[in-house]
Amino acid sequence: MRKKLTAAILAAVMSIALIACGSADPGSTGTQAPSESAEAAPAEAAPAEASAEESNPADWPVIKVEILSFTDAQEKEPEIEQALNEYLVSIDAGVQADLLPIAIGDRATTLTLMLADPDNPIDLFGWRFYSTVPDMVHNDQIISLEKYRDVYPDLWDLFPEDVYRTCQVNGEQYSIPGADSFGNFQVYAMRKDVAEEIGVADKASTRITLEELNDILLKAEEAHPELCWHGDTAVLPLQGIDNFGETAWLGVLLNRGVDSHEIINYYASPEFRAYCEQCKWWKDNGMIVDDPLNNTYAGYTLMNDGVGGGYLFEAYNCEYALSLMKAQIQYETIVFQLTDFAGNNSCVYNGWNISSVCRNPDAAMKLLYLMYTDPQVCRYFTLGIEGLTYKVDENGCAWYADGKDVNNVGWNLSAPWFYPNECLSLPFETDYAGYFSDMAALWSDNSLKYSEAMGFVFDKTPVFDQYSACAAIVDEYRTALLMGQVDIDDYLARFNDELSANGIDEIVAEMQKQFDEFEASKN
Amino acid sequence: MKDEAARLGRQAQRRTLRKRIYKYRILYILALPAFVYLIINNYMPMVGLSLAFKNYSFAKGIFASPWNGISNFTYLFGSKWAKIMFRNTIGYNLLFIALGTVFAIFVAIVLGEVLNPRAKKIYQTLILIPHLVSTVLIGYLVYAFLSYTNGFVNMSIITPMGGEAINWYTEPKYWPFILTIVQLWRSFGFQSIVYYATIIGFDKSYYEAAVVDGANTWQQITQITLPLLRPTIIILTIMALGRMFASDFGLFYQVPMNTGTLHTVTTTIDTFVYRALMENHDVGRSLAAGFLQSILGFIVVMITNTIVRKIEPESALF
Amino acid sequence: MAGKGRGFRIFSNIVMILLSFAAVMPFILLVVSSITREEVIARYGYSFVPRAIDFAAYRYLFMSSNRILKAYGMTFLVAFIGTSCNMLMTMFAGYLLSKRDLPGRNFISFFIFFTMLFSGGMIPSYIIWSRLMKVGDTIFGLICPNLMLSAFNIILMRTYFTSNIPYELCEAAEMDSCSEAGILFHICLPLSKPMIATLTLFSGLAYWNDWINGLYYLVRRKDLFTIQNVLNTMQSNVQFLKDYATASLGEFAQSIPSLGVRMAIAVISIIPIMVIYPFFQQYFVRGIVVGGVKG
Repeated sequence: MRKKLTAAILAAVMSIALIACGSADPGSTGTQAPSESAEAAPAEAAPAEASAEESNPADWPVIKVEILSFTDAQEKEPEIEQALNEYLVSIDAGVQADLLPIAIGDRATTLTLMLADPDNPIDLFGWRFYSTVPDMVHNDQIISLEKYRDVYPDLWDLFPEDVYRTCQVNGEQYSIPGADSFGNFQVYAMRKDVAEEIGVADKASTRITLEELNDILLKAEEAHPELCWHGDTAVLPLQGIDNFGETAWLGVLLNRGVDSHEIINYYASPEFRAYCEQCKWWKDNGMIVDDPLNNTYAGYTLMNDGVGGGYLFEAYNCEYALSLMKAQIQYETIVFQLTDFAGNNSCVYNGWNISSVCRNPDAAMKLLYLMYTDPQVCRYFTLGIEGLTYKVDENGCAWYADGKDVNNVGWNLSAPWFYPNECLSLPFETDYAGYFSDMAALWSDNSLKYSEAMGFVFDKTPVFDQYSACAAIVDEYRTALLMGQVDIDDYLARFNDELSANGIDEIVAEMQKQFDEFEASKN
Repeated sequence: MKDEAARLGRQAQRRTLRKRIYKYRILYILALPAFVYLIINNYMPMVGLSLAFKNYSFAKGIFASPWNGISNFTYLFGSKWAKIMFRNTIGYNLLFIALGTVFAIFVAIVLGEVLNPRAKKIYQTLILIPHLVSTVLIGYLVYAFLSYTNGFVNMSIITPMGGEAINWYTEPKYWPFILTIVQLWRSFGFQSIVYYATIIGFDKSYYEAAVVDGANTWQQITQITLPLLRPTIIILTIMALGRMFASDFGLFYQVPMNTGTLHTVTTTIDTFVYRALMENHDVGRSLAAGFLQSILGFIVVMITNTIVRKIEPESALF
Repeated sequence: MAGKGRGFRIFSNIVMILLSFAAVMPFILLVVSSITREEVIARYGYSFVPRAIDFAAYRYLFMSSNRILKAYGMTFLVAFIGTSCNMLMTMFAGYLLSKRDLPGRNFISFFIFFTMLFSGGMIPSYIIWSRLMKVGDTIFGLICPNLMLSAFNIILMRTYFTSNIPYELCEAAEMDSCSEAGILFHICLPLSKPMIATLTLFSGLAYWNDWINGLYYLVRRKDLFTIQNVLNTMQSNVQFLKDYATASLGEFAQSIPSLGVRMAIAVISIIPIMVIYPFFQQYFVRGIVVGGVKG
């Protein structure tokens, strides 16, 4: 009897759960084959949209777009959304936008949940700091944009062709790359007062070698032993490696693949050893911040706190670098160029895509197209409303509107790089009017040298187990080496032993295999 | 004849069962909301456990996602981290359960001996503070104590006493102690409350009788308090064992500040999974880890409960 | 005997003073850090004696005091409603299970305990609450999911009823033709004040410390945020910037509240508990003498 009762209760519970989850689950209701429904949706939506375009804008589909926020609220969101939608009506766009600010720290969780919820979906979002295109495709979080290639051909014409490949999986475009310089060089920024004191200010904004930099740093250290001269040393252009956007650097191409298309295990290479020795030299000469394994080693923070005197970073030209410094650092700075300008890295850092839970992909694509091509639309996202959140000076540069600052403006103006095409926006809080136009000019500059692997994306799914193990080992060892904290011989040997014991060779082999396939498909 | 007796016996049993159900009918009805809540909040989402064996597709949802066998589990095994994370998770948990219980009981008994009500209130309030500070902030506070260059321990204790400053965040050997101390520090006040509430609920006449018999404080503790606390200790321990394969993410990730050099002593199943899946959002793999932790915890609990039931049926959990 | 007892009492006081001190010391560091300028911390490290006092962090909070006060209000409201529901369900379920001859007792215990071990994970739970129960962007999103009942509390309640309330007392009441519900309300609950106070405290603290529900279920209605949500969003933003400390993100460090502000928020989120907690304690302070007469 008791068993029967138990069984009955259990059965009841399970069936309730099944019914409940069934109705809650997109895949089990409505159409039986979800893959079919996903493909059927745009077909159904297309005529609806076509008729809507002539009818009342109130009937236009509303597309939810994420807004990058550094606080948990953006007070001006309703006004900006309204202004954007009025503008969309005025150009008869056939789509309305619903702006959703998401705080950056909560973003991963919020996006993941919204991407799992067809009742409350996010329609358009950028993947920077969230995930990678292959991972999102693997998880079915985004849809293929291939069918829009013919609808919006100019959207595939903004950037060099190779750039688009970075957001493709199996030859299909899943995401549109975000505007960027797609190339850069290593810069060393130094406090201007220190540079003048040690007499190297004349080299400002010129190309110097690593040896020259080391001489400068020795002098600087002598004059100011209380300051450190490096933040993060895990910089890429200086090491000359293409890591395909993978932070663990488990397989890399040296020197943009110019000499060889062989993907190597970087940590076992003489090049990595040499760089470790360079870092050790910096450390031994007192140039690395104290207690680096735990201190924040963001260079700008160290400088602003009066702990650091300079640091390494990346920029696409010196003027841009200076303007970046001005915005970030309270000291006046100068910069030295350390490497040649090149597309060192075969990845892009951002892209925009349509979610797989989006109910109206056609309308979403239309809005995305406008974000890439219409300066007016772009500026609502990057700057807000002129007069309300920003003003424009005679140079064509934007500043906070009168009486506004970062704390009370009610909109995030400082993240244009997050949106699809920042080059349609105005330079913000800088006098450098070419901030964006110089960047956009690079896209049609044929002399620009990209990595041979430009467009290659590594899909780590086949070697996921090895990859996660090795990435954790890299976390364990690399920072100590690059901060010069340990004895290189012993530590590097142990590091490499563990990597090989946990399958780095399989990762590199898989990477080579995918890279060869990529090469073959290119020709 | 025999069958007849058995039939009658069963009938009687059924009658008393029905009678007992009838007797407690109001209690069942009162407890009903709790069961409904557990079904909605806990049992219905358990359907999602099937994702541990699936390749979760955000577009297709839970049911339509394709099965992929046990391939979601493989990343947990086979690398050097498997041994490290299981050893750390189990080791720290056993240590925390043992030390935490002893310490909490000790504090509860000691607190019970404080007679001044005002002092009692103050102590209780103060020892609860650590529970109210988030682990992120505890991470900062630990750093404030242990930072190599300007931490309190190095600057105000070791160096003035002529010692050499210790670089705490590069030396894995200190961290088992540091993590244990931090865990005890932040949980003792909270844990001791349950024991304390149980102790002051005891029938005072036991103690009065003991005093008449000339028992001293120590004898009262060992002869009365601890035996009476036994069911509570057993229940709390069994419940803690159920979480033996899980770990507090904040304690092992934020307190050591995710420092790479300490990973051999700070990596637990949860921190490994977090690092492996940070950018992948691979729901199947993360559920696989959770599922494994639950199953292992479940087995440990069932075994413990069976043993307890054999020895002391009254204290068993179910 | 009396002498030994007094000795132990002195020992007890000393131990508790030491433990209280250990518990409070880091908190003092927290308070001091919240009134020290950030550059000073970066350069000289943390200290119990502030090198340069600066109330900027608290001024910053005062500027957005409307927000903070509202978040406090939400926290209280949510904790109050949630804890009340929680305690009612916990007491009823715990009492049911304390009946030794209850049909299905073992099964029900197992049914409750099982929820402590297995969970379906974030997404299934979100789907149930958000799509089926429609709690998203409402105050119910803060109250209902996860916190409204805890198996742990039910089992503690059950254990207390069984181990601290003499069986004979209930039996005697039954003889007096007191109903089962009557026994609960007239005998068991009055005798269980210490445990009820404890579990109320547990549940209240769980609501007080929670930020997960706000993070999951309040996507648009950030105005419903509790104080812990405000604090946690700041913390995670800062953590994010630290993890991705790239050049292009440097600008935003300005819009992020400083460490001092975060510490200050932590301080003001702890203080209310320290004010409220002593009120609970009247149930702890005096022991209870079984037999009808309270001591």
